Amino acid sequence: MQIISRFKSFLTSSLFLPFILSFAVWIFAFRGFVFGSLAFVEDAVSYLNQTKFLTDSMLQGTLLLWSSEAFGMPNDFFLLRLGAFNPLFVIITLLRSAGIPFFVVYVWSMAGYYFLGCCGFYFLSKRITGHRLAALMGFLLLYFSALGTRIFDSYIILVFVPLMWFFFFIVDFFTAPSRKSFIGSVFTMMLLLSTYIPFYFLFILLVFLVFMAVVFPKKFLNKTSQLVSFIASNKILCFCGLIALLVALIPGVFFFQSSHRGEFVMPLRHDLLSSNDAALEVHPRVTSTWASIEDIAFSNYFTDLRQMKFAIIYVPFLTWILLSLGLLTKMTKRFLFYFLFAGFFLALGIPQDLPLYQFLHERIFFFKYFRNLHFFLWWVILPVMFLLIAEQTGQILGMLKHRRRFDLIVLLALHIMWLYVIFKQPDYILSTVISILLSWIFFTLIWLGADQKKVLWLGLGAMVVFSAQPLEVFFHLSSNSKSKEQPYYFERIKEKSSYLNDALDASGAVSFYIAMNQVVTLQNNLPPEIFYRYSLPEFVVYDQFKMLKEPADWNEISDSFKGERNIVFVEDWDEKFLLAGKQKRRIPIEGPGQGVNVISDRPNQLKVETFFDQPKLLVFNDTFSPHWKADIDGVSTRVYKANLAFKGVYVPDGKHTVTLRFEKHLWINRGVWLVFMSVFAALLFFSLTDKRFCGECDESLFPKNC
Amino acid sequence: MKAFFQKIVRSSGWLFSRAGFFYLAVFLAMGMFIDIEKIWGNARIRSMNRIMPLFEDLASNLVAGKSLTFDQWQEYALYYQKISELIPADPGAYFFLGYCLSHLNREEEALSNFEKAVQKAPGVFWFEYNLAMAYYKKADYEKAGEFFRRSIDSGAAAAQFYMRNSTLYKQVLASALRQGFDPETSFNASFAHAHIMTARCLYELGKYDQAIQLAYYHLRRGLGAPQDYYYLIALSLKATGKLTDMMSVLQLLLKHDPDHLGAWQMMREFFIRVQDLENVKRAELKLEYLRKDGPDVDKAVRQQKLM
Repeated sequence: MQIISRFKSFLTSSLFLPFILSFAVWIFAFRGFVFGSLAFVEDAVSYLNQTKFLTDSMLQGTLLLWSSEAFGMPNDFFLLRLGAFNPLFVIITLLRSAGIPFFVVYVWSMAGYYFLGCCGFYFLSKRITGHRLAALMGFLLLYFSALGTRIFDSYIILVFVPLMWFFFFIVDFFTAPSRKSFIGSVFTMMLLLSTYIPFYFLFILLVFLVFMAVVFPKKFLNKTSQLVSFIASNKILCFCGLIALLVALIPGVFFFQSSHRGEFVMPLRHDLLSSNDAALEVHPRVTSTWASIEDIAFSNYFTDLRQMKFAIIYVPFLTWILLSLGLLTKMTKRFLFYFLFAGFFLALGIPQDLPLYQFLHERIFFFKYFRNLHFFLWWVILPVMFLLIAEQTGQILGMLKHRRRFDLIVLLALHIMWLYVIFKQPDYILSTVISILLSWIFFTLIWLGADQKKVLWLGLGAMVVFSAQPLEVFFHLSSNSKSKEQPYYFERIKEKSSYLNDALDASGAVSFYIAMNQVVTLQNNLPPEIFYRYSLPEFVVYDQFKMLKEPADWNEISDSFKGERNIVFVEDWDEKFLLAGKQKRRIPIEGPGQGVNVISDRPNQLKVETFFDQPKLLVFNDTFSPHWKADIDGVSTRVYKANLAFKGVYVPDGKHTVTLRFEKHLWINRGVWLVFMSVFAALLFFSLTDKRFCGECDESLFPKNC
Repeated sequence: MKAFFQKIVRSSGWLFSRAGFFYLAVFLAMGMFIDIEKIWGNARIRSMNRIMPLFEDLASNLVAGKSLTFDQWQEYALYYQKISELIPADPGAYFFLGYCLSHLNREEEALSNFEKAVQKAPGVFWFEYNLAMAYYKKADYEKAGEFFRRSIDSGAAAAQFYMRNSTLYKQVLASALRQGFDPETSFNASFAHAHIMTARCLYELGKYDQAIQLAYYHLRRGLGAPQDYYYLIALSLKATGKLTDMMSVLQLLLKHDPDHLGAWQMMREFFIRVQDLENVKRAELKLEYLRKDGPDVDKAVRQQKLM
């Protein structure tokens, strides 16, 4: 009953309509992408593909542990990049299981997820400022900023959403400790820790705590003791929370271990580093080539918003109007906090000209894993700026109630000044002028005494004012974006076996983002065209083997591959297995009926039927890993490392069924997944039963009167 | 007086306690300790990398006349536009921008950018030649002729010096050289074309006698393909009504280029006029063949060149 009444009150709350309408307007603005006529680009494409593969496997009741990318590799990297334990993917899987096409589910889920993240920002802002309308305005600025465009060209939304909710739960918890906010903090922290570089989040949290301690020392101590007493009175809950956090770290720990063992390489990250460094490490010069300041400078080339593109930091023009209203608002310690917090990350994002990055890089071990310092711009600087603006707007709205002429004159002067500034620009767009005028009308109405209790109408008004310019800007973005002319990888992959590599072109000169070390070694030591020709058939059958020398004789291997000789190179061989064929050339399997038929090609498992007249070594041109297991007709057999990088199985003559399975960490991953879902369920339960959900607070984490 | 000072102090206190004042103070303080201009300038230069296109296609367009898509031209135009904003003193940015815009059929903007390039670096053959071509397309033959003459006077030396030292040129040149581009051959062709075009401008201005004189003069000096001069002379003779002379010139032209579309068209018109039906039929058959495979004479006249 409580849940139903809560849902009812949510639907009838005064800001429900502005929120829903803003979502609808956002969808309208990005309709080209949402309905599939415009193409996803850059990293967003690989995330789209990976989500498809992950949810495909979830539909089959398992997690995808082996990826077909780059000739095959453990899927750890992609699981971590996605944050595969996020319930978002369960929702996507459930919707797909209801028969909704993948792309529709994906794009709407991402749009909804971004909206959810911005709602987290709204609650955070409301919790801090205590002003619903001001928080709504901050929400609208953030929601209609370029952050939302990153769904279609990047993946930063996947971190942004839990980050916003984490800070909401933390602030909520320290305002008035509750189980809900504690579990919320733990759950969002789990999501953030299970990303492949959790240090971004940890560093943001660290800086947040340091500046809290510096700016609000007394409060910080108070809240620390409050946390201690909460722990003391909720020992079991806190212990469970701690365990859950440790569990969330497990996949990342495995991944970092694998990186340190040199099992995989990431050439782009690894550039300029010696071969002994772990694959995830990045040379500071690589990091410094593009940081926050470059993102800002790049955006500055596009002051003509008709040229709007992806990765441009666009904020609605009202941001600048509201920021300039700082002329009227009183400086507070909270403003100082925002300034220091965001300013620190801005300084960090100028690594080539300011010493902060170099200083920290030399002292903090995880700085070597940061490649994209500009992420801080989107995850910290932008939201903090909108938080500051919401705070300022709250003050302004409070001041306007007094109806002082001075305020009205300053408001008018500021709007005129911005109009003047805009008219001086040679390339302004009409909606900028309209939004300035609407802003003036909006604030004047408030000054004239528009009842701020009628938040619904003001909220709707705010939505119109704040979305006027973004609508035009996103229209230009759509016009400048590429149409979807080619199918995405996941759509093409149906045409052939999922194990075939898609990345390699005919020249063989492909640069992998991530690949198993052995594949890259092979690629680097063979002429590109030979490597390409060798890798064309998925299955190859050999009658002779040759033991590899140490070090490998690359000329011999190259000649053998070039001549397509019937010799497979192996590191060791079981003497009981005999090969007897005399054919000179290897036998590529180019289709059914040639001795190998694929029976099933499921996530982490491949089953083939073989029928040979003599014993053969069946080589599957997919990367070898010692964690692959094989059986022939149910009897376990050995998987050889064939031709330096691939999987080989000795198959006797006659008709047999060969099964290859990859089950590395399957049960651990299932356990981790179960813990994530349990904490999420607990969060839902406590959120729906907590009376204080999103209500006002007595004592904020950020003191109000300072 | 005291009350006045108190008011001043109160107002100052109010002002200093404003957030806006704090923002301003922070910004000014930053300016004192950090060279913001330098940081910003460096970042802008580094951020150009993101919009820098691959120059292979532009080079292919130059070397092998590969036609680029609208999107590709737009991408190049955007890059050069941003370069021109970033380094407004670089004439090459305006020149390349003008070149891309002309391929996007934005002729007016192209012309204005070529003008800027010429203003900033007078005496560079390619800048003046392309500006002249832009004027020619605009049918401003007076100015076109002037700039063709100026480009001829500028010659090769300044153009070569500029190309060797311009970063923007080097970006494209590196790719072009890989694709077998020969700068000298390209220059010679365009230099000769500039000579023909000076005469062509006179023709377009209705100064037929001068056009004929100039064409013969250049022809004697051996600058460019004779058929182009003969064609221009024939056009001028036709315009002055000297049709018999025109036919003699066309005969000479066809010796050099038996498949000259324009020449066959003029001959057909002449045969119709004198009612030589047999030759009309012959010319029509030839024209039918040439229209399928022959060159577009006018298009060649309109062609812009990068280097």
